Amino acid sequence: MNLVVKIIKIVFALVFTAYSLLIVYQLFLAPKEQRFHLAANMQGVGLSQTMFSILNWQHPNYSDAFFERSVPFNKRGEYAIGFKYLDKAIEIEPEKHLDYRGYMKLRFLRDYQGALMDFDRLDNLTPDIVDAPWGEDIDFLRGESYYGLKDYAKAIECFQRSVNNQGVDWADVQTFVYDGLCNYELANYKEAISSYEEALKQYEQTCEAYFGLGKTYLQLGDSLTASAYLKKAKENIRFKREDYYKEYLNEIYLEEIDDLLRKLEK
Amino acid sequence: MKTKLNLWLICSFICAALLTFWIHGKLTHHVGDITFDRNQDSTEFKLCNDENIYQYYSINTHYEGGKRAIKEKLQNQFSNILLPETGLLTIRFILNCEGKTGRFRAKMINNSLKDIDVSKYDLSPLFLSISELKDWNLGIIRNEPQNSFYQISFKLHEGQLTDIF
Repeated sequence: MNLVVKIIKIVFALVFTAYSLLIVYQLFLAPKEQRFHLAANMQGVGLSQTMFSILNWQHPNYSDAFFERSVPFNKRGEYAIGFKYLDKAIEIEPEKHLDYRGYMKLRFLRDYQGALMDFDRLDNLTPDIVDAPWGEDIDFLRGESYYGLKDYAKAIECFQRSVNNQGVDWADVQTFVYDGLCNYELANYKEAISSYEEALKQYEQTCEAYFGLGKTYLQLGDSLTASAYLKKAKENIRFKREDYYKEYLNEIYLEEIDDLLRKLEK
Repeated sequence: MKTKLNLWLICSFICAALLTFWIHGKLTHHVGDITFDRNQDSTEFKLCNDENIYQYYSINTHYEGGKRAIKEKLQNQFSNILLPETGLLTIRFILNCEGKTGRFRAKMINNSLKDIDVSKYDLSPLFLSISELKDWNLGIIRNEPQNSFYQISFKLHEGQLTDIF
């Protein structure tokens, strides 16, 4: 009987010890890449942040851990903390993380000047390649930043450079939409129409381009054509570019199309 | 020998138990959580279902008419609110499964992306205006509307409200 109790005690003690050692191993001793992926898969969870803090302490030059640690803070509006970690990642490996910071400053903070500084710095660090911050062409994002700053002439330069860099067929269709918007703002209505038409040539469901054409023809006093394009924008509104995180600068809404249509009907 | 075995068993059990509690605490805490604070939160605001709160972007909680509609309703609400002149103010709050809002929290950063303490400013009129937004499209999981966090950012430049997004 004593032997059975003893064996049970040993088994339990072994299980408890192994369990504790496994946790300690996962937190402190496993290869850093393995711990990084485990923590990254639990984005935003307290345990993930603890694992990143251990990685930051053990491997102060492992920039990915600082970068990934920043992500949930920035997604959840805690920008001071998020950008503190992101800045640290950039301090270690600027070429690797400047693109994301520029993208975040543009889309999450609407800090257009800050975004441009990051894109320009990245470009200077990588002179032989056309960068694509977070998957989007750097000149497209620069153009968007200048659009945010209302510097439409510079924005147009960037959008045209983006098209030249990538080729007309490969450029983001929104490049032509933004180009149209900038020309509209500068009262270059002929150029605006041509840009919107190019967008529709690339993708005929681009509701932003139909909307832009509607507004441009309205400006030119051609209510009939304006109304037809606004109706096309309405028909295609389900194809509009949207993002669950943040509103795009050139995002359009059904309500504003309806407002314009109502005005035209009066 | 018997004492050593008992000691090993007890110590290993205590270690395992402490680690389990610690991990449980770490797994149930998330970046951006808003815990109830009796000094600033209404007791009338209740969470639904099992009190899980999702991020708005995970379940597509959004406002009917998008940020444009929010902008239209909130842009005139700043005239009586005293705030630092320049920076980005972010109001984060919870929407429950009935579309009611509560537990408002404010954070602000300056142009250097450093925190500005806004606790000394009275933001209750702004919280009230947000709570008057009624056309929420709540995120749905298994045909049930869910609680979610939501946030609205206000950009201020030299005392002027320049953007809401």
